Amino acid sequence: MNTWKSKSPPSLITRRRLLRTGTAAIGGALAAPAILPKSALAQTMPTIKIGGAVPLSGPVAYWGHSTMQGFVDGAAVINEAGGVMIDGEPHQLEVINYDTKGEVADSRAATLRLVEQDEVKFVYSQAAASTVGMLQVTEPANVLSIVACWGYLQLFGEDYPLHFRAEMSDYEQGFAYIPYMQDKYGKDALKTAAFIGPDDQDGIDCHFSYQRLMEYYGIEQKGVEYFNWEDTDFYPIVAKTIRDKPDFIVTSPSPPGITASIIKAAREMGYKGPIASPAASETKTILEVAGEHATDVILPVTNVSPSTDTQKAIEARFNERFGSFNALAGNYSWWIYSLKAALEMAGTATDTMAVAEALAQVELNDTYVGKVKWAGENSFGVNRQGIYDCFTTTIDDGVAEVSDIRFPALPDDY
Amino acid sequence: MQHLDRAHKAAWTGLLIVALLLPALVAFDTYLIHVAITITLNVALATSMWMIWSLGFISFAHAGFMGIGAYTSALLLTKLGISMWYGLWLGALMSGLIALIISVPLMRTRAVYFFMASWAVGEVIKRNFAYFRDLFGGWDGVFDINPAKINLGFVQIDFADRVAYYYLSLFFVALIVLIIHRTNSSRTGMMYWSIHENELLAQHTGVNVFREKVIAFTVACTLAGLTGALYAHYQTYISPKSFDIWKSEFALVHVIVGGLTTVGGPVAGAISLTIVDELLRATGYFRTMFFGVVLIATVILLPGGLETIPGRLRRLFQRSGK
Repeated sequence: MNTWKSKSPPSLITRRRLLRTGTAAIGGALAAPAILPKSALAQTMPTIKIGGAVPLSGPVAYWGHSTMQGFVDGAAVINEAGGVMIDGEPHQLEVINYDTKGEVADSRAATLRLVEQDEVKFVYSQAAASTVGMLQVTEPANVLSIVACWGYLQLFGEDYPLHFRAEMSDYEQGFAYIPYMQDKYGKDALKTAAFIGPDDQDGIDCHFSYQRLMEYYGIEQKGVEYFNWEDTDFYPIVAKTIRDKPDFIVTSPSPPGITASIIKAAREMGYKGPIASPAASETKTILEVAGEHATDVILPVTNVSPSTDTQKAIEARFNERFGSFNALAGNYSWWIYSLKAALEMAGTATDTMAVAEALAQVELNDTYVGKVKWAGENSFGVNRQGIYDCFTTTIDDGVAEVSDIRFPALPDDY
Repeated sequence: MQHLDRAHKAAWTGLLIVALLLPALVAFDTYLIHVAITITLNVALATSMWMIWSLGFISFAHAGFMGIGAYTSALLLTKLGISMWYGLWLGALMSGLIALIISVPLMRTRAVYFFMASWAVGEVIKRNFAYFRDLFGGWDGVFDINPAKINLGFVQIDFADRVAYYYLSLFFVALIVLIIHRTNSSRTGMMYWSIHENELLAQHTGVNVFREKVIAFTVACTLAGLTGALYAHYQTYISPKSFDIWKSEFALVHVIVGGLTTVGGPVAGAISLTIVDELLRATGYFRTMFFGVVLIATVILLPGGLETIPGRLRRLFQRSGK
């Protein structure tokens, strides 16, 4: 053994050396952002920083990545096209992203870093926990925020004038997909409904939306069942749900895997009614998991077939830039263009209240989700809720296709 | 058992001096002071968890007891208007009281059964916060848990100011570490380690094993409750998810990476891993992966944890001196 060692060339990579080198490399990579002077990254054109406090790891990382991709791609496109014009002067967009793990405290920390160290004036976020943590920082610091968050309505409205919720919640979606379902199946076939959701605040909030929707459309509410995120066996709660014989089931917010498990369990137990999942926004997993059982599935805000030039271009760019594309990322891709329009309309990148007022007026007609505007004044006192064309995808007999596109027919008091 | 030699004393004194001067050292950068506050809270949690480890147990209920302290102080303030100054102590007391009751059956379990039972206790505590919506706010959580102000006559301190909260947090974490260190260095600490090494043998030497285990568990959970109350008033918002199993697991990782044999271990582990986690935030997708690599590298390159570094350096210098 000693002989072998003595004959070894001095440059041989040993395990110990590899570990040392690897550790040093990782340490260097970690320290680089802290060590490098900011001027090293400075650009000649004035820069508008947009910060992302999004879950890039943890159970809701899929949502966070989809949101981030929209901003990264949009910033690149806008910069290539000359940037954001404010008072005739072009400004570059710089997107900085920090991980929140989908936790409140971590999101607060990420937002503090964005606002206090990076001096960001515009922040975006994703999911309820990250939004709650972010809002503790952004509003007091006069920072404009754009998020996807369906619950915590007490944190939305006149008291939060800089806070925008760009993604339609299952409530707003309901004014598109329920009329569509009534068209497809007939009103008489949809007189009763049941709800399945996660046993946490998200599930409670979605059940609240569901209740308001069912009351609005005069649909009788049958059972309500909650699952735990750790659950893998959905047969017990599905069995309880279908015992009341609802005409259709709404499950929300249920990711594709859980939606598929619920569909599979329901169909295997003989349930034949439609199953709507406003948060799944994906078809591949449902088709793979539910297989032959995937039929009469309603997936609102899920554009699986880009058809316009804009939609096709977004799909192509995302595939090139990120190696893949999903409909959810497409749904979020318009946020940054809306912000750009607001910055140019307000003529400032520092007065966030002026930008917020301008943003509330922005309407876009050609995005991945079609026509977009901000609404909600009668409900929340401010126009801060994004409303857009609802692309409803259906899965019937194992085939997924966009079956309906309509702008939500919101009630007058919305 | 543990008498501080000169080197240890110098290290602790140096750490305390750096901690006291930290706001000035980071030029009062508010974000870095936030990171420092997070470090103090993580140190407090990991150290109190280590106290249970000195008995030979790993408790996954620790974050749950932190939650009891947090919710007690938060609800006293938001529902009854009772100041944080009372909430901190009452939160710790409530946590200790519940720990005392639970520890009676819990401490009759051993090894993997304790592990499973503590996990269940932690989960039940969290679920109770979610279930009793009217009292605890359900999954929605509790908002507006503001920190207190104090009027000393000549100066008024608002603990919403981050520097002020940092010193408050530093004071309490120093107190917690001191209590645990003094306990560990005493005859009581020797009894804990004797239970850790061989429970049956300890019993035969006259140690009232069950009583000592209950007391140690209760004290550790009281300190976790105090940490929770501090956490609540700093974050100003808490929910059941703030105190789930992951919180306990991260505290355990801090203890393991730092080292298991001295109180310096969890302190070193919590400080270093909180900083590493913060540096990794910008790496986004790779954060968890890099964190895992750092953990594995530490375990492989530093068996025994960070607490072994001074000894290793000493041996290295002795070798090079020859």
